[in-house]
Amino acid sequence: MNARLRGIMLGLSIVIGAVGLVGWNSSRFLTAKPVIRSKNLDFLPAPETARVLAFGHTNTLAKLRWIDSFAYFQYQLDRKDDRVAGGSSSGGFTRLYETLIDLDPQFEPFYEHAALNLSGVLSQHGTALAFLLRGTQEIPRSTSLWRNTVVTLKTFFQWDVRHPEPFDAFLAAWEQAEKDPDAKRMVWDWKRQFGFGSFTGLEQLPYWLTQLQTSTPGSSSGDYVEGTIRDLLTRYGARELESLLATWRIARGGIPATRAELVQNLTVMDPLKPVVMDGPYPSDLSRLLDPKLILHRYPKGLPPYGPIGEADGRLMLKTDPYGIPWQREANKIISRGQLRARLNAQIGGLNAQLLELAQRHGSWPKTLEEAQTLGLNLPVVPDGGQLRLDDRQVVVDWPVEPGAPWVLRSGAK
Amino acid sequence: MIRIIAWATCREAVRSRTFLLLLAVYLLGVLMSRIVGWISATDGNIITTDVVFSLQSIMGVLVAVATGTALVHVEIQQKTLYTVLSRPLPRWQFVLGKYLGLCLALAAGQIAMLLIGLIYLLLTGAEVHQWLVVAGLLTIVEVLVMAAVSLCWTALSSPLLAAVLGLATYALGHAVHSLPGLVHHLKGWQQTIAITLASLIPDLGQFAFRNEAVYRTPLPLDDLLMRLVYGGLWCTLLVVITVAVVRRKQL
Repeated sequence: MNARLRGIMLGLSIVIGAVGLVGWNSSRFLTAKPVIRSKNLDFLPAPETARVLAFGHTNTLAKLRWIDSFAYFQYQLDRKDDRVAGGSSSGGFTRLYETLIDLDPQFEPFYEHAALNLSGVLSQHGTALAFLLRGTQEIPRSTSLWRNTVVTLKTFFQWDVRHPEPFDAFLAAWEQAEKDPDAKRMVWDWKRQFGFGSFTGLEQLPYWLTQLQTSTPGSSSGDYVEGTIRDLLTRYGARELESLLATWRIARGGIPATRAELVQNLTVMDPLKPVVMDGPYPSDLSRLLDPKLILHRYPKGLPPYGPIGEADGRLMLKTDPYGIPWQREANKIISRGQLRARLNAQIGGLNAQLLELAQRHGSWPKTLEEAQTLGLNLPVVPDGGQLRLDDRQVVVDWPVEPGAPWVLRSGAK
Repeated sequence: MIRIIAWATCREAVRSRTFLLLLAVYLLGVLMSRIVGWISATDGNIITTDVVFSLQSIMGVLVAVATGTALVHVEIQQKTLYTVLSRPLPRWQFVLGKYLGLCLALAAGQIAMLLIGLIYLLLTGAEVHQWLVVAGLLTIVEVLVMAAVSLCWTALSSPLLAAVLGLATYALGHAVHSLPGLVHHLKGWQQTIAITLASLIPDLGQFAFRNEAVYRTPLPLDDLLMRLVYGGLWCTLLVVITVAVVRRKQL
């Protein structure tokens, strides 16, 4: 056999051998069935040790260790036993995420997964909250971490009900951490909704007045803050008038609607007066301005942002913060201005819907009825308002009212 | 003369198989890095960036150690060293020329790796910004310091031992970076010894800015300059030690 032939044979055998082995290796993948990895944490160095062992590649090491720990998540889903070997009494997840976060404190998913695993899988809400709070300290610009923390505080610790003021302060800290105006507005939305649910008075007013000072008049943020303050004052004013109305009714033989009304108005009840089953109701809300009743309700003087004021030594009923007189329906006080504002807020969405309809049908509807036939959902318009189509926009016309909205920028009226 | 030796060394290093092979491994690693991103339950961009920059450092250091330790040894083995040293050439010029040539080759390789990495990140949709470039440049300094370390160890020991010691220095150089936070666990003379020994090793953590750069953390200019000066001083010191050893060596 000459040298050339030997070379060819050797080459051929290498090729055949390589093809065979590659084929063998590939067959393992082709016939493989998906396996869900599940394993305990077998290597959990302390954060300091892990940092030394990372040799300057802390981020990469943390992430590779994190990916490997997904199997531990599966293990916990099945067994729910977080104990791992080692001297520390902390569970596996806590130790794992402490190490990962120490190696790479800027990686947002570490905090989110720590909270998910500890709270969602193991119901350790306190530890989950600690990780989230650390996340908001390490990455203050992370909207997602702030949002998760607020949700945890509300859902598992009921901070909005039990500790409304610290909760409010936490929301303020979130708002301060956000740099993006849209994200700030989202925090305001949360703050507003939680505030309306938790506070009975005007506890949030100073915060919003501060926001008003920092916002530009006429800007979207400015309008939003003004709207919020008006909403807040309206809720407060309506509640105060309802309370006065209850006192007025009970003083005239009306039946208290709630236990609180009974307790608050025991002193004004006249046992000699015949009981009135329904009502009585004042013909006009200005009849509530009875000095005795007002003194009973406000022994320390009229509240500055309340619905009742004083002019030339005489009591007067203010309009609602939108500049429209308050209205009574049975024992409820209605702010027509607020109803109008809410409808106005819906108009934007209505116009977006109209644009979508026009794009779908290739032409703009000529009348509102035609738009309605095409599928435009028109809301019920309160307070005598009329919807109409003005060119390519839905607008609402309201009956003109004599009053003007409260001036907020130089303090409430 | 230094320039001629440096240029010849650079060409030799760039053409060496080890250099090209490790560059190819880097390329393969970069291409595979996206897989780590895919299995990470995130959009994978940050993880891919981390892996790409770690690869640049690891491969760079491997190239520096492999090439740096073989540099003088190959000259002795092939007896080309005697031809060079038989000329009226001081040994310090020879060592300096060799080191500068190695630095040129390593820097070229590192810049190629950085460009490949950044282009790959751009193509995969990850964020590319100036801090990543700064991180890449500091990694180059890290690699140049490691080249000086390798050269120094080669002068003091055999090539194989020098490679092992070079890699150990890399590990220790990063480990000592976190030592200030741990040294309070030691007391008295133990603490003094630990601090003294740690101070003898270059703190390579100074060049691991990649861990912060991924999150767009800015590096102040004075801080950057301080790190560059730190790297430059270590390179100078190690080359001077190498020169001192080679001058006394019986070849």
